[in-house]
Amino acid sequence: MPLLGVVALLQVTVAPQITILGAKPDFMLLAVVAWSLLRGTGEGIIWGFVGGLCLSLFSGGPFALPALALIAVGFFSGLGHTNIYRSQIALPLVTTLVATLIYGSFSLFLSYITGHSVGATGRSPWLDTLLRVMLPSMVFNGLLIIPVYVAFRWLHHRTGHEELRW
Amino acid sequence: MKSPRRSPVVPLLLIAFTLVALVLHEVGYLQAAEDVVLRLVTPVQSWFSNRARGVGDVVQTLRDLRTLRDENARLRQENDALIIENVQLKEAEAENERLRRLLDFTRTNPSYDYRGGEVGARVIGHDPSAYLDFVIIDLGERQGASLDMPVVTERGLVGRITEVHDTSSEVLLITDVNSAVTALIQTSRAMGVVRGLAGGGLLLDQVPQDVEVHEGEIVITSGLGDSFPRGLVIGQISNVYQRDYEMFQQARVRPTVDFRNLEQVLVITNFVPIADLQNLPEETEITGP
Repeated sequence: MPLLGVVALLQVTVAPQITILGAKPDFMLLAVVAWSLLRGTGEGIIWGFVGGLCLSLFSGGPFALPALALIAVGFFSGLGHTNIYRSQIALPLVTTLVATLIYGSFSLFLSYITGHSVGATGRSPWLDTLLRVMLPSMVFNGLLIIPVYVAFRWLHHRTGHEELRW
Repeated sequence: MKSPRRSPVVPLLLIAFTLVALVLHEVGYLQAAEDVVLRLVTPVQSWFSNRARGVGDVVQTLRDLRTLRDENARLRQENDALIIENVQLKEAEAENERLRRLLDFTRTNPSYDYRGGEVGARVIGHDPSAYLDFVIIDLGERQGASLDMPVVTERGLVGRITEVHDTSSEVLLITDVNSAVTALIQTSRAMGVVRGLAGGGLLLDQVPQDVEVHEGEIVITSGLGDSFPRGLVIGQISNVYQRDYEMFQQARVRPTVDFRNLEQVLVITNFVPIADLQNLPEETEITGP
């Protein structure tokens, strides 16, 4: 769990420094996706919850919004845990692309219902946001998930496949 | 050992807890707890932030290998500097006459001057997502920061303080989707509202159809009806969206401030919005020029 604190700090301090085409890496999202694929929905949801709270605390932003979005990501990604293609690189890649979409949609929707407007040009703001923000983020995260997944798989083996008890 | 899949209670509890926390945050009940946590986290975050700039420098060095990009960046910077200088000169010229008439007024009402009270602060954190745009600065209530204070750099308007903690504050950038700044185009003096776009960028909205808007024109704050002093540079028009069937025209604005590399900002601590000036007590009554 302290790892999630470090990831959150990296997210609020390092990630903004490496923006490419308006997209910045979602380190926390990648961590939650990788761990959920390796450990399943149970741990995925907990990682999403704790990771999201860490993000809120370190960023001072809208409290608990990242946690809700990352819980959804953890649940979705954990479904791939039992997939027979788990050992292949295609599964984390595809999962990350969809997870980025889920995270973005959740973030926008939750921001919207808590009184933050979606913004954009006023004609088709959701589509505009999808094209200008989510797609570059999907590509960026898709590239980064491969080294992240390899690193977390190492960690997964090091920690001996332990499952959390409720 | 119980399988997580057989126990939907814990995930549901986590979601319920998160929702409750969200509601408590929105109504402000978590303010004290958040203050304590931020006070503890701020030094760590500050340390990380300094190291992160090193990472940013490495990334930038890799980018600079491309000569064309380097050249482009240099020219843009030069262009920005010239734009700012040009704006300042034009504004100075336009204000010269008005200031002459206002001289007596300012002598008798020194508090009307909004320029002073600038406090330097370091940016120690950015928002974690690509959908909201705010930064955390290491300047809080103890150092004199308070809600709605404008934040600027030497290049122009940055945003305003939306949340104040003991030793840090949250600054909503003008590129955030929730930001709206009343602005005017410097040459035509046409009014509009500059809004942030998701993922960064600015949009000048509600510009009347009968105004001719050109690429390259400068957009500055109007100082009317909001929390910003007038005459601060916001950016330069890069694209105009004009459709005959629309009530207003819109334009994309390229900000002069480099929001990705914000390090030092200034907080204007003694600016009084126009709306607040109207509520001043009688003994500080403002007389016209």
